[in-house]
Amino acid sequence: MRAPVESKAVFVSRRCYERLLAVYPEGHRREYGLPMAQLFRDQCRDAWRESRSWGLVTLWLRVLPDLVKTSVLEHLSAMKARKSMVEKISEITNVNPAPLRTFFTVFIAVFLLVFGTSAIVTFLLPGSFQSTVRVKVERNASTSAGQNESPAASSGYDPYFFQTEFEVIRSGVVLGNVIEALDLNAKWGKRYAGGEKLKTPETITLLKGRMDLRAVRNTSSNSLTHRTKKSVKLKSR
Amino acid sequence: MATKRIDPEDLLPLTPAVFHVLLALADGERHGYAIMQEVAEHTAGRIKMGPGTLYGTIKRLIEARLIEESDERPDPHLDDERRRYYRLSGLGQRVVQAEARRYAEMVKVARGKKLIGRPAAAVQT
Repeated sequence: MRAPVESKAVFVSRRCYERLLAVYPEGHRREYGLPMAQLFRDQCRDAWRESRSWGLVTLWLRVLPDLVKTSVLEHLSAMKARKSMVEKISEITNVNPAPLRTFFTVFIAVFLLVFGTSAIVTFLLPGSFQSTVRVKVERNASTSAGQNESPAASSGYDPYFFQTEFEVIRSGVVLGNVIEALDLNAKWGKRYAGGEKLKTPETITLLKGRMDLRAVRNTSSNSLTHRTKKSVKLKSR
Repeated sequence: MATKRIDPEDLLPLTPAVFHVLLALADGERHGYAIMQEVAEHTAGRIKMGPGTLYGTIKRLIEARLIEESDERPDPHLDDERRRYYRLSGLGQRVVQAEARRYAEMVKVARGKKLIGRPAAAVQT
C-alpha cells in the first residue's frame, strides 16, 4: 500500500515534532525517536482527516504537554541510571556501598551545617573595628634616685616599670581626660543607655573593657588596642 | 546466573498507562500506532496517548521484561514504512491477567454495594 499524500500542514507539523525530539536524552532519542516521529505523523494524518487544521491544533495542544512531561522524566531516568560515585567506589573496593553512602551523606550534612551556621552568624553579627597605637615609653631621666624607688629601679632597671605605666594609662585620671576630650559620656549614653548620659565611672568601665594594653616584646613600646563598633580616635597621654 | 522468578502479584497495581498497553497486546502483537488506537477504542476516546507517554511506557515495559520487541515490518493496512512490533512476554501475560483479576474482584465488590448495575445478560433470568 503506498503512503497517502501528505498535506503541507501535516508535513510541517511532522517536521516541527522531529526537531522537538531533541529535548529527549540522546539514548532515548536514538532508540525511540523514529517510532515516536512515525506515531506523531500517523496522529497528524488522523487529525487532519477528521477536522483539518483544527484537528492539528488540538493534537498539538495534547502532544506538547506530553512532550515536556515525558522529556523531563526521561532525563531524570537517565540521571538515575548513571552510576553514582559511591557505587563506583564500592565496585572498585568491593565494599558494601550502604555504609559509604551513609558516611558521605553525614559528612556533607555536617559540613553544610557548620558552613551555613558560620556564614549566617558572620553576616548577622554587627561589624567591629579595632585600632592599635604604639607608644614608646621611657623612664623620666629627671626622676631623682632614692625617692620612693625600689633598689632595682635606682640601678636603672625596674621590672615593674611597664606594669606601673599600664596602671597609669588605665587610671581614672587618664581615662577621664580621654572621656572628656571625646565626649564619650554623651556618645556612649546614646548608644548604650537609650540616650541618657552616662556617668564617668560607667564610661571608664566600658572603656577598660575595650582596651588591651600589652608590652611589645624586645622594645620599650606599649601597644594599646581598642575595639569598638565604630571607629574611635585614640589620643595618647 | 539463574534469574529469580518474579511473582506477578509483586508488580501490582499497574499504572493505567501500563495496564492499557498490556491489554492492547493481550490478543496479539501490535506496533505503536495500533496500540494507541486500541487504547483510544477501549476508553471510548477518553485516553489518547501521546508518543512520549506511549514509548516511555513501552521502554519501561521492555526493561521490566513484560513485553518484548518481535520484529520490524510494514503494516499492510497503513503504508510501506517499517514499524516496530511488540508482544507480551510470558511474565507480561501473567501480570496483565493478575491485574484483570484484581479489577474483576473490585467490580464484584462494587456490584455487591450496588454502586454499579449488573450487565444486561446477567440481569435476564
